[in-house]
Amino acid sequence: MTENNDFVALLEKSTWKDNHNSIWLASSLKLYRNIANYSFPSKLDVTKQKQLISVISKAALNSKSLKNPICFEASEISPLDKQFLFEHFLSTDNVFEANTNEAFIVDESGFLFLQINAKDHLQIQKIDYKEEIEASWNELMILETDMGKSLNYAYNSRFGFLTSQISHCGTGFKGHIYLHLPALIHSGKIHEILGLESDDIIAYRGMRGEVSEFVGDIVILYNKATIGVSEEDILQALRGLATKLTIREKSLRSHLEEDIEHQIKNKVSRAYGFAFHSYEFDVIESLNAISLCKLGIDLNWIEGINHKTLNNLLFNTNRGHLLSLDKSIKQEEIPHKRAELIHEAFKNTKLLI
Amino acid sequence: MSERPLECGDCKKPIKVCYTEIIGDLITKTSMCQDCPELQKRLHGIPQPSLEDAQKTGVCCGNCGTTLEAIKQGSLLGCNECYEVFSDVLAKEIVTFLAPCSKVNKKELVLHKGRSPGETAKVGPAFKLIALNDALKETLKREDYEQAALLRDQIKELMENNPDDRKQ
Repeated sequence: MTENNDFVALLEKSTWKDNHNSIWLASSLKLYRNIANYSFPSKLDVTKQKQLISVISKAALNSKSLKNPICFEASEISPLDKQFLFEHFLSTDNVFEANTNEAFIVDESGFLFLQINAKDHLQIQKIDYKEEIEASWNELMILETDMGKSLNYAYNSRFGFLTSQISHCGTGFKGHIYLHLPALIHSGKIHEILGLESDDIIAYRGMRGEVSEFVGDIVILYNKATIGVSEEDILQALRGLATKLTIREKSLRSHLEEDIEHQIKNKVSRAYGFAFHSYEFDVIESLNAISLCKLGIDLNWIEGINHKTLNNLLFNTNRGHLLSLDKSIKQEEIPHKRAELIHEAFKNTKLLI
Repeated sequence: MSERPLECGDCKKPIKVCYTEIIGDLITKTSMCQDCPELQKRLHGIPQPSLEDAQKTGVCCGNCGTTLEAIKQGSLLGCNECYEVFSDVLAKEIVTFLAPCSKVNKKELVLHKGRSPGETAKVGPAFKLIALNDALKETLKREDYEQAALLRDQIKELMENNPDDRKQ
């Protein structure tokens, strides 16, 4: 097992920091698997949980698909480090949920993440910011197959891969795409467009699970069906809807109607002022301000800052990331420190409207 | 703010009860739905049905003890045997959940359509091409010729990089 901070150092070197994306911010693909003839984690005794950590981690660490992987048990890392990990991998799982005898594996790329003994014996996740969900799927599948040579996955022909949640059985595959759509959202067209372009297999939500409003103007597309459809169906549906929404957003940004342009200019300039001068920020306020400033960059209303810096801020303003930058920050100082980080990023910028 | 009990983290039912426990100086608040077994346990000290009792009534998994009642309340399944024991109930629930998905054939007995363990057929970039072509048709319909031109260039570049996809 490894030092507590090794994986934080590993992930801080990762290439989320090279994300220049304007609209398609990230993708996350996840496979849920269980090992046959072992009860699922919620019903498994401690001895068998530890046994599974040993068996599964051995299969993962021996796989050629992972580059210099490290494995660590959840009990060995602080809650803060766990929060950092979950933020980095865009996980919506409850960070503070007490899963006993849980373990994690990350590798040198910083884009592959394995969880052992969460709700299922094994979750394998690949995150990506290059819009390459098909290549990510291939990578995920090869790793899963490689590990499957020494693991016997729970499977039957009727229900497919068997998972603790029936909403995940079948392919056991969940894909998420994170799209930044501020023009569609602030022009009031997002729900109309989502209604027109909707797909049976794909659902959408915001960062906090909401469907009526979108924090940070980020819309997350995901497959609601994991059974009754193939992995190719899911990938094709995700790709199709993400492409259509991206094009719609680009079209709207280049042809804003006059009254909508005035409204959005007002919002962007206020967000800029907020980013530049606020003494404190909570997470939602910072996401919303950063989002509008990203739009401002694309519309040539803000200069002196780029998408790479702002995308980086989307992560670094989260609690786990903020505290990993400076562990001496006290809980009550976090909103102010968040504001300081944002001020620093904006110091050489200029509002052009 | 009060939290749901850890055991009931996945229950999707609306919260109806706020249970406050005061032991000395420690105040704990827990939110639960009205059917929560955890609530019953705290109010009346009702023990969980024993595996033997549940087995007698034939409504639980013989391997892990997960009961049909627990599944209906939204609990996690306990093992792969549960899929055999409760297969009809689970199939019905899956079909209900997938009702809005027209692409899914809900009358088929075998619901799983994806790969099986060990299958490694890779996915190529064809989906990207299909998605771009669909988006192109739509932008032309909307007479957004600027975006259509950009899409056409992307399609051309993709086909030049992947000549095999021209056949599709």
